[in-house]
Amino acid sequence: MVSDRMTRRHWLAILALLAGGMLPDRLLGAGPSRLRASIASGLFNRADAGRIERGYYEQIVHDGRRFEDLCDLPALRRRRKPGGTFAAPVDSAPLVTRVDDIREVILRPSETIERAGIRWATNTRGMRDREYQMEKPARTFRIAMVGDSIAAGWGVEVERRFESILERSWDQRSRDAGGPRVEILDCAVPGHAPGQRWHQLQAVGWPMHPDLVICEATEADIDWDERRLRYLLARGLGFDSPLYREALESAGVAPGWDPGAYRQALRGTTGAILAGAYRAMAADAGSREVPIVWVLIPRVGRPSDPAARASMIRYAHEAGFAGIVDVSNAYEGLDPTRLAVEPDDFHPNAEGHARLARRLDEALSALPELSWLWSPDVHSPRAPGQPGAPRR
Amino acid sequence: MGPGIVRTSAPTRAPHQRFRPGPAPAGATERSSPRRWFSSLYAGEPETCRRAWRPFLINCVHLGLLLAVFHLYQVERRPFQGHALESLAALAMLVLPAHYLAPLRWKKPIFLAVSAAGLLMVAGPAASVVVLAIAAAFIGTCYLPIPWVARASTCAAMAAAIVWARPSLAEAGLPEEVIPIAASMLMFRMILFLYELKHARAPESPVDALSYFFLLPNYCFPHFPVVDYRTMQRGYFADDIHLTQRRGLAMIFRGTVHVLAYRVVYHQMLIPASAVNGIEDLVVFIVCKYLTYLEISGQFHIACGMLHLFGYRLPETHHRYLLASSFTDYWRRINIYWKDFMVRVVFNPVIFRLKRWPTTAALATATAVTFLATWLLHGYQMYWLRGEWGFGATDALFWGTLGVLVAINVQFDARRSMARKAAQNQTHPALGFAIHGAKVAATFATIAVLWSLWYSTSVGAWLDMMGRGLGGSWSFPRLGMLVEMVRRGLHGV
Repeated sequence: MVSDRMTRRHWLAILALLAGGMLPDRLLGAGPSRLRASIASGLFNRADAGRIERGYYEQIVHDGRRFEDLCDLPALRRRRKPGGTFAAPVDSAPLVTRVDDIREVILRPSETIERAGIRWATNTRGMRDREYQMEKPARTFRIAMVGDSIAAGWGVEVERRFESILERSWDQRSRDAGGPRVEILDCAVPGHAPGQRWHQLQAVGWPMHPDLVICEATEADIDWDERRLRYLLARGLGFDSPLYREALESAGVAPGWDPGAYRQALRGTTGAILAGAYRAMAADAGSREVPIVWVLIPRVGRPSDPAARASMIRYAHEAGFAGIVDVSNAYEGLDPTRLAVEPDDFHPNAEGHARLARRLDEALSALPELSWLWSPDVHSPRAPGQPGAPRR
Repeated sequence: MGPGIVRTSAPTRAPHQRFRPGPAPAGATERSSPRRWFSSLYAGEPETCRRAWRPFLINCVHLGLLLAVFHLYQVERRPFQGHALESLAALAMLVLPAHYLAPLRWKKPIFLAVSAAGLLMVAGPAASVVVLAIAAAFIGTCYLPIPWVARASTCAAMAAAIVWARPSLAEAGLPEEVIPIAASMLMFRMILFLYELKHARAPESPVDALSYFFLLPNYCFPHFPVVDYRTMQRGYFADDIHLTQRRGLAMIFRGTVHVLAYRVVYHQMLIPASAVNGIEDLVVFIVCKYLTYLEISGQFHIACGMLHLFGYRLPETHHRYLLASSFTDYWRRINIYWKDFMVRVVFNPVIFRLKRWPTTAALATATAVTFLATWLLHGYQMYWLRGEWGFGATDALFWGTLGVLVAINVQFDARRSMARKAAQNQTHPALGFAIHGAKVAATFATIAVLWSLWYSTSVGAWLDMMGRGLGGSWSFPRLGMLVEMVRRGLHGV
């Protein structure tokens, strides 16, 4: 039986909760504000977002988070309408559409939506970017960038993400030095694992003849392909991908298993899968005579694992990327709450993107694949639009 | 009970027998008037169903405030899942006045319609249609005019067919959410319903059956308490509706507090297993990992509380499980609905079959079978909700160890004499309190360690973590800081 006294206590507690929830941050102070943000957060904590495995109840209760857990797709984070309680209803997301290949999802082409005050507009090729001509214009140096939600600019306006900042900056600098125009095609799709990003480049990026590929990576990539593969293989996808073939053969997996069986079989092969994917990417780009640069960027507020970082850099070296850039310390010593799009989120806000762009600019501008654009004395290994010819 | 032995307390009633609807008042029919059609709608209703605006409006305001808390703190709102709980709670609040005013005989159909609307809201039309078809096939089978064994076998065969076809169904474009939603409605409740059909003296009405399977809060909580069919039906308007609603609101509030407490633990206190490098880290990790169960107890409270709003008076889902003083006590307090389900469907039938065995052996066997079934059914649940069987070494060790501990405790409890109980009652209150506290602490510590094993990726990873914890630093810097803060605080005061 619930007594009147207990009911009164409940009412008081509810009113206190409501009052506490509505107080402005400046009145609460930093500590209580952070505590309140935690109480109101349905996201993963930092450790789980850093890819630790989860327990029995966490798995079944948060099954709807599975998709994000596995591939970090933040597409529906700010859904305004109710729905999709159980599995990730990616089909119903206005931003993405499902495809029956290894990429699983792509951005809907020619779509413009606004969520939480951020405009998402895709071009006819399904990139969150402005429209580019299919045929590369004369005197244009075209760069394709593959990556995840950070490269796609999750949580910020498109012109404030690091890719757009770099594009503007490099284009201006190159033209000021009498060089070609610089275009960066943003082929990133939120939620894609490294191998999926490469398949996206094959579908969208290669037909547009880029002169350089920038392959964005974060430490979350270390086992991302393996976690996606559990589900892709169960759907019969991925067996024929050159990126994974070697690792899958050594793991001895066969079609027709369930995700749990693939998980068991792939345990311990995460490094081999990523290394294989990197090798295939570098080989593919090499066969097309397009240099490929690998860049490791940080996630806001996520602690860096030195061992994982070292492994990833080693895989990139062994794969034969033309350039390897590690700016994973770009946010070191800074307050993550100032740099993230929301508490406990790892996506950088506009300030985070600007900082990242500065660091990437410093590191990438010095690479021979780019430095010739703004150094008139240096001849490029490949002139814009004419492979192998001198720059000017 | 032998001659001359007098029972000093009433026997504990089985959960499904606790709430029987009260008899209809003699004068209830007098209120009906043939001249007024609407008055005739309420003829013959029990007193528990009577309407009174003031307590109802207070309950509505209470629910509205809870809804505001859900909204403000984004309770059960997750990426990809929208805000299903808020939507369903808002739907419940909107429909509640109509349900309240409706005659008793309309209330279950209204509840059913609201549940169907909730399903549509949460899963969308395509998935809802498939879920409804699956549920109709299973529930319809239960009403086929064939022997019970044939009906149960048909249901099992249909479930096996879904398991077999699941990968092809996904490839054929079946919405991903269909099977988890249908499974969360049917996977355990169908077992209980079939059990009930086997033992029921009269046929169950289809409305009762449908309202048992289509429970409004189920669509935002895939992991749903195993509500017992008979308990639910007997609890229906078993008590004054305003009191039932108030009890439900109290449950929802308690559940909300659990969920918010879980978030504090999860975001502010829980450290990753990889960060364990000393005894204090180990203690923090083990305790916090165990406390993440607060989310489950919170969800169960909220789910059952929502059912109370529609007149279903149900027992508690959890009862202060962190304060259990023994393993049997823990088993009785945590997830009470599961315990009742296991006792009803596994433990009692086994004990009954072994009635000629010595009590000790029969109890041990029944307990072992119960925990084996619990382990298997947790894997079965994992399969339906996530698509992968959850059988691993850590699961087996967790359930095996817990089963052994409970079996030992059961034997101990069975042998404990009344005289010893009496002697215990004569101990000094302070000493009794200390002994009880020690038992609670020991039970908590053991369960928390077992829980950390269960939640580990492998036994090797768990042993590695325990090794780092026990082999690392034995200092307590966090505790030291806490003590220092308290000391400063006291000094300031």
